[in-house]
Amino acid sequence: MNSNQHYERVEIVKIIFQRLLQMFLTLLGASLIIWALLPLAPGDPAMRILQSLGVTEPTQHEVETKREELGLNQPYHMQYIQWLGRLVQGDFSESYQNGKPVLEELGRRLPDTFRLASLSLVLTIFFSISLALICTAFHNQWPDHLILFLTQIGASTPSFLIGVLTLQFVVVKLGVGKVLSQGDVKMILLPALCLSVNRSSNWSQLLRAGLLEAVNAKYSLVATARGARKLRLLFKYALPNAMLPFLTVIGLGIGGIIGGSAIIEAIFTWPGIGSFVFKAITARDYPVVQGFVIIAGASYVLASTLVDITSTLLDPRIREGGQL
Amino acid sequence: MKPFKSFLILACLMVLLAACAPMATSETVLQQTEEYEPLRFVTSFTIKSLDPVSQGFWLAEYGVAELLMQYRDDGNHYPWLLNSIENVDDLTWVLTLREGLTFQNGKPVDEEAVLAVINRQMELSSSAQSSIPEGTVFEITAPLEITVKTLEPYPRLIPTLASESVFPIYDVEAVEAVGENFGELAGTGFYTGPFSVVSLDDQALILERNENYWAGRPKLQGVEVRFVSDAQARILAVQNGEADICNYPPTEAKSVVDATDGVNFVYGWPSSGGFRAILNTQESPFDDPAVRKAFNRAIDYAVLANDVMDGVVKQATGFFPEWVPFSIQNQVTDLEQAKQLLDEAGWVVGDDGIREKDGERLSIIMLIYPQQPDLVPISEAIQAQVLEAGIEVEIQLVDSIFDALTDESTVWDVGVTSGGSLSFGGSPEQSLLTYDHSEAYRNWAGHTNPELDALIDELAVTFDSEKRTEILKEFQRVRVEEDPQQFFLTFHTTRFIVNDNYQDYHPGMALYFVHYLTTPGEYETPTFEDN
Repeated sequence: MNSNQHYERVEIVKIIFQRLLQMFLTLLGASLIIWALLPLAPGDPAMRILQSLGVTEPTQHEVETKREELGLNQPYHMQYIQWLGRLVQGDFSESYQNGKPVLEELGRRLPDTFRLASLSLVLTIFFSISLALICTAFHNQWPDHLILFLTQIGASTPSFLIGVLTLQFVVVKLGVGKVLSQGDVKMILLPALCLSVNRSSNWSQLLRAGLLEAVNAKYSLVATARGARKLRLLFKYALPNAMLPFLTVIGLGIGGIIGGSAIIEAIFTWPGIGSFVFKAITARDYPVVQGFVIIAGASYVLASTLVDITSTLLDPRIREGGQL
Repeated sequence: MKPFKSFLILACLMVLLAACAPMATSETVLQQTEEYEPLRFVTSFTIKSLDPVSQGFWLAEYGVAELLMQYRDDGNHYPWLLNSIENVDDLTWVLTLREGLTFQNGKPVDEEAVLAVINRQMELSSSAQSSIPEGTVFEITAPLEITVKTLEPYPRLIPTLASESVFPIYDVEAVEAVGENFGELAGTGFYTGPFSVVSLDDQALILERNENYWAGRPKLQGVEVRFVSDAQARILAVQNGEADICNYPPTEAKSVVDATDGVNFVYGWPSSGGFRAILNTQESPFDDPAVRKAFNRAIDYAVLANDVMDGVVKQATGFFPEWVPFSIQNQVTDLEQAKQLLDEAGWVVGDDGIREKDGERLSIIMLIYPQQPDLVPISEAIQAQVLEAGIEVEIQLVDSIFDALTDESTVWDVGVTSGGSLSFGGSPEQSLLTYDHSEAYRNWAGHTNPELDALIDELAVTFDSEKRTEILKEFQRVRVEEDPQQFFLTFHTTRFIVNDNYQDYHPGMALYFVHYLTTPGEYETPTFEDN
């Protein structure tokens, strides 16, 4: 191993360590904000938990005992530390609605959300790449203009509106699919498509810009001069170069898909975490909302860190302090 | 380049086609045959478990659980699983069960089975504990006979036995056999109703017909209750033929539903619930009885019900809904009287039309909460109405109305809650003791009125129906005409969105959504006399 290689490895380890440290600090900061949700929320958490357990009119003694058990009589900083300790051990408290452990409730619904989010991600990536390639191939021609027009509409339309319109016009008017999907895997495509429209529109525009830049880069010019066909130019030279920054976008989007699934799951009666949290929000079930935000936030931070590390490993410019 | 373009376009077309391919067409609606297909509800409330103590009331509403007494559409109580209920003296009741009753699993519903339920509920259910006075003894005195002895007169026993959360009758042995694993109760036929539980999960409650139901063979093959939180999805499910009845539709859906073929907005019986305005008499201006009366008279209750709420709620003409036998219609709108009351109390109209007294502006804070979206248009209408009398209203939205009213630091003049003047079982004194008595735990304003307290206390121990009516009428007179510290803005009605098959759907009074005679189209409403 020469000194340059050794130096490069040290740099990689240093960057990875920095990214992990950033991730830890971000999660810690996020946890503080998320924890603050509970003491800032109206009402007494001890009272709410007792009521969720069926004690509709708890006595003062019962409330005090519960407060003691939850550590609510201690100073705020101690409450936070204790809460964080419980969180690390997987204790996300109990739902105000049914008194069951939040982690158990969220965990039970995670597979359905994972299925929906995964399919949505696959569709989003597929549509983004396909549309961006078509736009690049037909740059400044009608397919490019049409896709740009449609993706601008898609990017500016919120997911819930797309979901409601899809139910009204595609399901009810055209008779395609069902309103009550209720976890039926045959019915997953429609909510997954709705969930992907907004992101596909945004991502395809980003990737289109990257592809156009790559197509006009010097290496593409050289490849063209050497007789490379446009198909080869797009797939072999332009796409790999444009994909690296796109990878960052995908990574950041994963957390967003899980977070954004809440409203689509509720609209399509998909039994995932999202619809559960939607109900929790309307019922002011703060422990469930906290648990969801922790999971969505952690997945976002984790995905973003993994993307950073992967980019560092793949692109020497980043290791040398350059920008993507 | 040409093959490449074709490839891309073809690929996109294939994806779009694939997106449409696996979708099934919507299901057909019910067929009018002798064997009626299961009735399909979509509702916003999830039934969390089969625990009869905490969730049994839901099963009473969907024809699974039954009660000893029923509160019916005429505002009176009738024996249901009981054959009779007799008030032997002020402290003694004799309950006699019907002969030949069985649980869905075939076990007899006898005096021992019912006493076991009562004892278990008294041990575990806070509803039962808070409804039955301390020292009450239930004992078997003969076959099919249970005698109830109380330490003090307790006329509320009848509505208590008709309350869905107090004593739903279930097979205690079957329930205790599963411990905390209530999911295992599915398929065990542990209730007595016309439909028994096949399964319950986060998505749906599935019920099948109880072939041996004591009152007659249910006409529907079963019932499906799907839990859908999104109101729009519930309505669309009915429109798309995936459900027959949507429970708890939002009020604002009415105009859209009225203009849509295949779906109908229908009403059940008026509910005993309503929007109750509670005035804070601990602070100015409502510490002055004249201002309380003026505020009450300045509100146009007919406009609130018929125009603002488009007729989907009932006008509050008194403290109790009109259909209640003992109600009197003494809540009136009289803007001139409101102005006169304020004039006499020294509130002078200022330059901007808002009254003032000793430098204090007649401005009040009204608290509403987002869980009741109908309160937004109602409160805004009240704001405009009372402004004509010179009262300024600031509307504030709070997360939880109970928390806000309980919190001593909250600044408020009017709190609006959703709560009835009758309990679910039809008891007036239950509600009066909860909200209106000086010692009521929901008397958030800490308001005291010895005259009303005396009437409530007297009502709580009075059996004679004529005397009770007299007391209740006097209560209404004082409450509305002299001291409207609490009054109703509107009374709720149960409402549903149904498909054409169920456009004659008409549920029972106390939220009995389905019974053994329920079918599509016209059907008989079961009456006590039939059984």
